[in-house]
Amino acid sequence: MSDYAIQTHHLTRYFGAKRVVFDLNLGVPCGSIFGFLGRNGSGKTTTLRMVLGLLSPTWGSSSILGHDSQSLPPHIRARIGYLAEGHPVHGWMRVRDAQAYQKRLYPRWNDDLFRSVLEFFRVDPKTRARNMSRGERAGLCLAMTLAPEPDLLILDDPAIGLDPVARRSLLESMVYATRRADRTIIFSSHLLADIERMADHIAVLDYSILRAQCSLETFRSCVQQFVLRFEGPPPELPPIRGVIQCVPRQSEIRLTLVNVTGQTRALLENLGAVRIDEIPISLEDSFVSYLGGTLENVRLPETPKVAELAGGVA
Amino acid sequence: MISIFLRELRENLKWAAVIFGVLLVMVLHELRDPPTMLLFDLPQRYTLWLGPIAGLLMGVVQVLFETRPDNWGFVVHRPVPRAGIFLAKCAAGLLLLYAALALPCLVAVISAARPGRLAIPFQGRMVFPMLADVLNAGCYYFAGMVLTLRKARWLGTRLLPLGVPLASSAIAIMFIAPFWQALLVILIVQAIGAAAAWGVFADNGAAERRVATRFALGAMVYAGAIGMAIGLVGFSQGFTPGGRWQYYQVDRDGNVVLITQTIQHGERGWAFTDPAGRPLPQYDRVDLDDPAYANQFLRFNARLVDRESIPWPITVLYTSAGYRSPMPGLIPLRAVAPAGVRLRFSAVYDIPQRAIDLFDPVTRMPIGLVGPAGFSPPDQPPIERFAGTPLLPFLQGGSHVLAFDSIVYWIELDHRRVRPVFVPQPDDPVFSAAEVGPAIDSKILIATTHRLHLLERSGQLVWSAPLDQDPMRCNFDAALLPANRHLVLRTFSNPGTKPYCNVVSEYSVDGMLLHQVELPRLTDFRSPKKIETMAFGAIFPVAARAICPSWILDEVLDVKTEEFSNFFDEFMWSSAILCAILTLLIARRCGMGWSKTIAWSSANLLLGPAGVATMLALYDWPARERCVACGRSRLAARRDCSHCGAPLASAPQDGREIFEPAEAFGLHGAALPVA
Amino acid sequence: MPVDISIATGSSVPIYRQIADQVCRAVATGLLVAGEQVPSVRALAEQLVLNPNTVARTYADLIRDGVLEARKGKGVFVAKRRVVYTKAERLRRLDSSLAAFVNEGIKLGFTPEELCEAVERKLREFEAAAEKGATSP
Repeated sequence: MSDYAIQTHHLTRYFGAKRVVFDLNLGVPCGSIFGFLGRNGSGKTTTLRMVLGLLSPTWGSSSILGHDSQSLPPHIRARIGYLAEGHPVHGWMRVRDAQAYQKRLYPRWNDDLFRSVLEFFRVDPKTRARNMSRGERAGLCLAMTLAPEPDLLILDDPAIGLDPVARRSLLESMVYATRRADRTIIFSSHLLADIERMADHIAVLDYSILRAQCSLETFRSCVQQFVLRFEGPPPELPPIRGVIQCVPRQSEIRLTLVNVTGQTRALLENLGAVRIDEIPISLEDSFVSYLGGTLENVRLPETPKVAELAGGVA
Repeated sequence: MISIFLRELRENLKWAAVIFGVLLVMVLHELRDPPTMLLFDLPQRYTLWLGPIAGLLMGVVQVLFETRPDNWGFVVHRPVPRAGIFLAKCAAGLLLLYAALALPCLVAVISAARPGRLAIPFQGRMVFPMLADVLNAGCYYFAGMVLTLRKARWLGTRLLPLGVPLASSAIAIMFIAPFWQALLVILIVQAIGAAAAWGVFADNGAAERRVATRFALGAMVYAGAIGMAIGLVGFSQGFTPGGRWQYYQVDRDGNVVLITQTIQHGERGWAFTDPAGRPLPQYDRVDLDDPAYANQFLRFNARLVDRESIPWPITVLYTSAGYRSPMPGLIPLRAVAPAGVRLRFSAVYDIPQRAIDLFDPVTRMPIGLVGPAGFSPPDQPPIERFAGTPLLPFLQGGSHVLAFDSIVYWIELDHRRVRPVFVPQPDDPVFSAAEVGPAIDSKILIATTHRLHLLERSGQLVWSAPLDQDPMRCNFDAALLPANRHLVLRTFSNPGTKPYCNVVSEYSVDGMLLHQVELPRLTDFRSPKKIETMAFGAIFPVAARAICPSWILDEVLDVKTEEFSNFFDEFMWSSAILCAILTLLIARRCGMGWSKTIAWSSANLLLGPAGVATMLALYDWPARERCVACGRSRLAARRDCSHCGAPLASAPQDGREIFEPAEAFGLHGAALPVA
Repeated sequence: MPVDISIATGSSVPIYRQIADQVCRAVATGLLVAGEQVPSVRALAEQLVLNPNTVARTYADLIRDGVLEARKGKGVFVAKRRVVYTKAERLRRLDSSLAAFVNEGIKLGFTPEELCEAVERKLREFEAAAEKGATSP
């Protein structure tokens, strides 16, 4: 048994001419809470579908709990809990129906867990799923996903459309789920506060390309913000490797940088600034800059010619 | 799997209930005052179209939830093999569908089987049409699944898979005589549909992986494409300007007239000439729409055909020989007494019993049986039964002549008997007999293999003459000239036999052949027909040409392949070659492997334009982009460029990546006591 | 636990740091006395709705710094104050805290006099709280 719950090798998916996931090499460590980040349309849902064997990749492969994704035997599927985006469930089901349906299908069933999650979300047992509020339906789906005691929990944007109380219940359920130490949780989210609370490791997809895969602490420490103060208007900046945000003001430039090396520092010092201060940056701002970022008044370093890359790759 | 089966059952029960309710209402409505041929009328009026709609509805409704990918993932991500999920779904759906359709039909059958409900005997084969319709609904069920789940860009291509069940319905209903064959066709189509539906379900709309299911899907799409092509050509035929029809008639003196009917500005006009084309002045003012001219020409109501010589599919299409017609079991008799005499019973020839059943039309109870030896009451078996099945059941209804190959009777049910009038020589059996002449004073015309006999009603022979033409190659009709009682006999070659013949013969009152006229074939070389033939040739698959005889195209579909055979064949072959080349180009452009390309090109040579449409609909055609290494156009979704072999470059690293070797895990919390 | 720990996301201070700071402050002001039990990792994680690993890491840091101690089978307790650092190390740490404080103050636009006043005010508050904590049972 490997140390990874999920591993992908050069996973790629095209829809027609559109490249949705490209050359993804992802590894989700067992027992971690893994946050999957990226802007809308970056390919997160597609990746999760491919990993679950619900979609076949254009090329590349992936394995989940040690098995190839495209040929998952049923007993492995019993150990994976999947909550798809939008909390899908059959509209006519009440709590009782969902419980009966799910219980008969899975080898393991934890009734206490099922009830606890429903209580967290205050789900009314008498309403049908199509008449439930978003939060209640999310609770029902989450209960159905957690009660079979899966070893791997995959939640695709579970907080979408939930009010703050339901979101809190969602996080409480996730913490409750970690009572088993070997349980792995992967969730994709736009809510950076939730990522900050819950994730051990994160991966960042930037329009089909994996840009970051590290622990949360590493990410935090890699993104640094500097303020360069000048006398008079700030000069044109030369290309600096690792710039993700550059905001020039009247007499200063605010730079957000990634992977600051000694070389970068030297470059900064040679700009002729009166003072250079490093200012602390919150995790949320780091994410926003990393994912979105404004780049004014700075040139990106020349990307190496693709031909060189092509010649270099075997 | 039981869980999924029960869930599907619970979810779709309401739709089955709707179908059941609608059909039950219709059946009960009919049962209040049931028509005699209830179990044949019900399918014709109701289940024929309700079955397909119900099947389509169930198929669509059952997979509507799965059209959204997240919902499909929810359904499919279960610790049950995907095939099991599909099986449970189909089992529940088909069970509901068949039950919803079959139960009202069962009500009708049980009601019809009770004595006193219908004025005909109940025969087991009467359930066949409804059974076929109920099972046929299953074909549409799978088609409904396929067309809902399959990812298609346009509405047209989405509806194409309906082609197969529509074609199979048409075939099983119109073209097949024995029930077991119809059943076989239906089951085969359901198997194809099930395979295609399974493929589409398993991969959520893209039949990417499984070859067998892709083949099934291809078959469905192809049938739809061919149907659409034929429909388009046929539809455009409606726009051909100016209709012109030519046909022969015989006037009351026995002369043959060639009539050319035209429609101009909504008005019909006729031109009357002799067969050679010379105009006939006595018809200058004749307007056939005017009832005064209703009896201008002879009515040939006596048909003489050898049953063995009728080719399929004419047997099913025009002679009611299929399982959907009551005639293979029952022949309703209308002409059972002299004109003007009213009878207190209705009569039906019961083929399995080989006797004529008499029913009281009010109480609908059986009154008795009439056999060759006379009348028997209902509870006693008849003294004697008839020799077999009457010749030509589809012509029996309006004729007093009841003919078998060894004996001919005249029906006199006002005396509750049938009177034998003719017994042929043992080596010259009867193949057809008909009533000829006006109803009040009709005579009997009997055709045996080599001779023609004219008899009075009493059975007295008027004359007997040799029959020149071969009854296996020709069919005949006859009329009596009102003035001199001469018999005019028209001979036509059977569809599909060569050479063509159309002969009018006149016989004197002694049976002497007075004269015979051979009429030239009427051909229509006008350009609309030519264009239609060319268009048909362009869409017609070469493979079908090898199987389908020309006369079916000419007679059944009205495409003049005989007359314009060179045009038809030229267009067919050019179209086939064009399709093969087009397939080659498209397949290579989209990066299909060589073996597959050759297979598809050869297939489309035989399958025609519909094959190309099928191929386009089946695959996801990848886009192309410029290869950055060599600059030529390459497939977007391939790893390596097909020209220069350069792999698609990984995204350039620009220093903003944050990657951490995986060994640097965070704490698992195991070092601390976790209460 | 007599001390309410609250964390704020979106702050420039990491969560584990926030917890550590609050625990240290509680110990320093006497709200947490030596030998008192603190909630287990799991209990605190569920209370604050956090990844247990984060809480575990915080506790590990605090144990390493000598603020807390783990007793096998029993749980985590407040440690008796021990001098862990050398004087030089303590001065170094004080200096780095002061640097951060002074930078922030200047950035906010306060004069050195205002800053000194603020320090004195804070120390007075601290002493008052410590007295109150010492006299309470």
